[in-house]
Amino acid sequence: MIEAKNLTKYYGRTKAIENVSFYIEKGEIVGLLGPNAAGKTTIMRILTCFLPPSSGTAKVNGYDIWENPFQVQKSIGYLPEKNPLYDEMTVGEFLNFVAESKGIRKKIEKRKKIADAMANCGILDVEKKLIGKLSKGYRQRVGIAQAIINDPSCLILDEPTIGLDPKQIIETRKMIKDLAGNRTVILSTHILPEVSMTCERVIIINEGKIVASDSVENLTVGLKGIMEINLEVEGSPEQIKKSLIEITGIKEVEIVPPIKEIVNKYIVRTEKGKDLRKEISSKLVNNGFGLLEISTREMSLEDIFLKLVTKE
Amino acid sequence: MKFLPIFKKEIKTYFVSPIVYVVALIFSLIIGFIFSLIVGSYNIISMRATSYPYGGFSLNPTEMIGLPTFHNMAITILFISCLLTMRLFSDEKKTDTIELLFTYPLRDIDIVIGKLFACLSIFVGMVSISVIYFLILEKWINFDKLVLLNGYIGLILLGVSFISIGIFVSSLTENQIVSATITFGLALLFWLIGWVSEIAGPKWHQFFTYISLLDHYENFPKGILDTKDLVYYLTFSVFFNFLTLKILSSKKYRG
Repeated sequence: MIEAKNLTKYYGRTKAIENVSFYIEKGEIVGLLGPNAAGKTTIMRILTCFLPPSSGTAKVNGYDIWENPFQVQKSIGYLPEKNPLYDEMTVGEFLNFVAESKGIRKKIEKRKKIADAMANCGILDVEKKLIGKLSKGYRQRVGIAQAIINDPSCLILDEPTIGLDPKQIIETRKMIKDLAGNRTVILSTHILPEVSMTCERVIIINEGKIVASDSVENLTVGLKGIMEINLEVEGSPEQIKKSLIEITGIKEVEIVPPIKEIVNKYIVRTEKGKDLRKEISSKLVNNGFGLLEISTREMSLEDIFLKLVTKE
Repeated sequence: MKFLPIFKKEIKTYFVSPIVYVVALIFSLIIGFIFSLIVGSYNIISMRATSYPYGGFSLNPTEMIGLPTFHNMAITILFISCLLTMRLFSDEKKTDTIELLFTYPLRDIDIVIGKLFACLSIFVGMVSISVIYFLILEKWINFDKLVLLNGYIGLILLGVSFISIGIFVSSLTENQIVSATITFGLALLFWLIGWVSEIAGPKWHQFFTYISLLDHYENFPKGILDTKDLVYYLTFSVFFNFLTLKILSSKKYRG
């Protein structure tokens, strides 16, 4: 459970985030989506008690970041954006240090947790290797292993797939999904497919403000606003356009250039939430035009994202 | 005991990098060289003394060998403490691993104490190399062991002060060379500031004498353990570690 209330953070005079509030249910996987420098890392750093917010507060697993920073830090696992690791340590030594730092002192328990984390992240075979000698994919796994070693109920991952090759990205995503279980996961990214693949809910932020927060499906439907229908019709463009406009609920008819004499492609935009495919097809057929193709155009997350973060 | 993980990590890191080995080698070479010079000149003096009746009775080996050795060691540890402390926070900040430490359930004070004790342990280990030189001479010379022990107590207190300055400076910069240089400058300043008392007016004379690291050290190799000096060194170290804590908790440091 993560709850943020009116978080605002200034770096000197520049505003990093402003009045950010959100609530993440226990067990949810939420993606924090936004362009670079939108404030994703700042939000995560506040949640991990690394940075104090200028105003506002947040609760992680019921603990307030101002009042109980230790309890907060005990119940989270955090993978920083740059994934800093001690290059001069071996993977085993490093995880041992992390476990002890996170308050796991009993020898048997510690050994078990280290072994579990290594098994979950697939790094058992590099236990004795120096971290500085590892490949980027393995480094990322070690970074995730240090985050999950204390079996936290809340995982905070800052751009977990950055800089990995496509195969590693897929592996890492799968790992995150497997690790999620009944944990609350919040991950930040600027890669859109990642969100639709791993997350149940998306919080889109831009220039320090939340611009949208909903499930991926709801976002695609709700933000479509105007529904778009693609048509391919045989007949005189002028007449077709005229008869289409007559249907109530249609806002705009656009002929896709280049305009040809007989067969043309059209984009029809309807009013919010109205599916007029039935009306359009019967009208066209009744008027004697040849309807060759009709389909709705799904608005992808990419379109929504661009729509939200670019000022028109 | 929450500082233990940091302590263990730092000790391990010291032995992974070549710094400790190089610094220990150079330290033992310098001190060994100086020690043999001092023993050599004591040798000549004692030979001359034996040519007078009862001349040898006035010779005090603890004073004639111990005192100059401790003074030279004090200067040497001023150099080596810069080298031992320079990476403690600079490196964490440069590689961003400080973000890990700050997001683990550790208090700032655990981090500082862990690093201070780790550095101090290495320092004590290094200084104790010089004990061997005294042990070798023990076969022929009767040292006053309590006086020597007192000298080592002074040396360690001085070391804690230098290390505290070093850790503080290291928390200010990401660059290890800058860290070492500023630490050296600051330590030397506190070392020599007693000289100012000679030209300062009577009002300030006492002040400058009191804040000088050197003036408080002088009693120790002579076998005098004064609570005034103890309090001075402890306050000095606590003050600089307090400054480090303030730096770590400042918003700018984390931002």
